[in-house]
Amino acid sequence: MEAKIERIKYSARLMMGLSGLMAVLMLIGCFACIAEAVINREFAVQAAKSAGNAADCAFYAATAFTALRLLGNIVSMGTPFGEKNDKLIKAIGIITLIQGFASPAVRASLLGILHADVTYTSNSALLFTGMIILFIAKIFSYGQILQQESDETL
Amino acid sequence: MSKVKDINERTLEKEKKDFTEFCKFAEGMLTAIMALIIVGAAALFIVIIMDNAMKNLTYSSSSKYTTAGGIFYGVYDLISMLCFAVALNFGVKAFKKLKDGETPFRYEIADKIKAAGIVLFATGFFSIAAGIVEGVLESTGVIVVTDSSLISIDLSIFMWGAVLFAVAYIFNYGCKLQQESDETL
Repeated sequence: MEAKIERIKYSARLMMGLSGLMAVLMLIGCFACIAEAVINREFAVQAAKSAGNAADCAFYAATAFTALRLLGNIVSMGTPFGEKNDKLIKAIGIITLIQGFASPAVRASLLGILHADVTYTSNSALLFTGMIILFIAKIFSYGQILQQESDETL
Repeated sequence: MSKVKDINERTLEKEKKDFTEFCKFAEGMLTAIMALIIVGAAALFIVIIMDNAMKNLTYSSSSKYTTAGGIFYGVYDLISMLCFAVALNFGVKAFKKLKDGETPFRYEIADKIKAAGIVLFATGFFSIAAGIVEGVLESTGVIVVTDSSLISIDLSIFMWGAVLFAVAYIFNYGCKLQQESDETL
């Protein structure tokens, strides 16, 4: 069991590095897209697309920051079923679901205002992923109960 | 006191029902996606055979590549699709087992999740290998790609593979806790 916990901590640290990198890259990407939108402000359709990409990057950055907090919790508590972890996973699921609806909506409404030829379609892959993440959060809640039982027994 | 117990039991029962319902929904969704991929793969297989027999009429009719290129890309797409179908199949099996059992923490479920992760990693490595082969075939003139490379290496496959590995590992840890809990009782 000890060895398992150590391996979980080690993997969590590794993934923390990756999540941190992703969060920084996405933030840079978000600012770059905003800058692109400002530069292309005369070409309205291109600027609207850049604004949509900026929204996407912002959502990904939010997901990466939440994942960073979750992994930090796992490292500090030494268990994946620590307090609040299920809520953080739930938050990731909700962000993903909102992104699935909102990001194409931002793009479509901006392009719609500009009378560009556009149709709104939600990102179904993200919606499904969000639902699976919410489901994993439910399993984590159950895991927390088991962890509590185990700690109390010891 | 008994009223509180009654409410707790009802909440637990409702949670369990929701859980089972979601498992059924996810199982159905994954099965539908898998069926679509298999139908697509079968259609693609027919197209590749026709392409070979009728020379440059179907899959390779795009001006981007020759018949040999058409067959190469067709086979690449076919294998990628089958790999995804296999990964989805593991997902379907995992949800089926989740739906049936008392607890989600069972080694058989962790194994299924891990297997899906392995298949995703294999798909990623396959696309890298195909990219290298594409380069070699193009440099030797077997295929002619007038556009830039047509095989894109999707790094998110590796990310999803890693996430599934992590989830499988956490499930394994959960199994140990479940075992402890059952033994205590």
